[in-house]
Amino acid sequence: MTIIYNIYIFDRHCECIFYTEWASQNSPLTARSGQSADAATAQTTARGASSDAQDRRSLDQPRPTVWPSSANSTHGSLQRNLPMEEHAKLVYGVAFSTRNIVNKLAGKDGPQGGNPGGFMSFATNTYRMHYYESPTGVKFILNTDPGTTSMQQVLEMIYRNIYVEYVTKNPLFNPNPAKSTPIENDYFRA
Amino acid sequence: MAIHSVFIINKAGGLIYNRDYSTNIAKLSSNEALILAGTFHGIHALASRISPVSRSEGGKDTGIQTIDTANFRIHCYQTATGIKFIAVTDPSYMQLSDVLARMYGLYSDYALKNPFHNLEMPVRSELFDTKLQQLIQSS
Repeated sequence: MTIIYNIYIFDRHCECIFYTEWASQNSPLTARSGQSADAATAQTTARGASSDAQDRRSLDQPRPTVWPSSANSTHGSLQRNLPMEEHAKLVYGVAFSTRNIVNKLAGKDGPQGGNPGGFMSFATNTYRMHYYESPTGVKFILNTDPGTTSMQQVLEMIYRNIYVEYVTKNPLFNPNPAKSTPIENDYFRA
Repeated sequence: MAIHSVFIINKAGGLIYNRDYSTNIAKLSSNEALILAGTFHGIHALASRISPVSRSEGGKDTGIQTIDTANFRIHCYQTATGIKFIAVTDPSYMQLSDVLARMYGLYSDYALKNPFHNLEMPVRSELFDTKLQQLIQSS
């Protein structure tokens, strides 16, 4: 049985444009430095409740929180979730460095895009991280249980059918971050 | 004969042994090999930090064990003393921890028991090279 913990999407400019978790046990979304645990859980339930309120379809489980989200920010200032940003940077760094090692060993280079060395995934004893890079440099990272061998097809489908369809072809989408809600809506149909 | 190359990284992340066994893998200059070893040491440490599984639930995360790519697979075996044994092989090799454990045995026999060997320094031992070659060819 495949357990999917969370997913990250990074764009060409190394920014995290999308993050959702389904079963993550130490969630970086709830990690707040210097705040009590009660305040942190209250914050996530409040965030979850606001996104639920926007959802008009009835789902069995509440929709998982998405980050970054423009729904929570007050107009003007963007609420910065610093531990989440740092966590995303760590994840990006690990994936990017591993990809470079693989490219170097394969004898090919190319930080521009397209993953010439063919880095697919790495595994530790508790989880496995899958990686897919589009030719344009958009990076999809998926964490699952270590038993799953390959999610390459899944990630490619996510890119081709969801990201390209609903994000790139969205005329309101600008290449700068803040992943919009359309990808959220259509994601949960799959 | 599908093990392409072997790296041994010490506790601090420095490369102490590096050997290619086939021509399929790109030839790395010594500088590049050092950089690669250092980078691997870093991501190995970070991988347990970004784990989505909490410590109490899944048990302690030991760090990266395999890296899968289209053309080869990288296996890593970390000992209790912090030494990492890395092998680059064909993608068909699923589990290499027993070979890497035997490699650790060879290392402790021919490097650690050598009274002239400085700890954490590059391994320069002909016997170690020969025995390792035999181990690689037999697996």
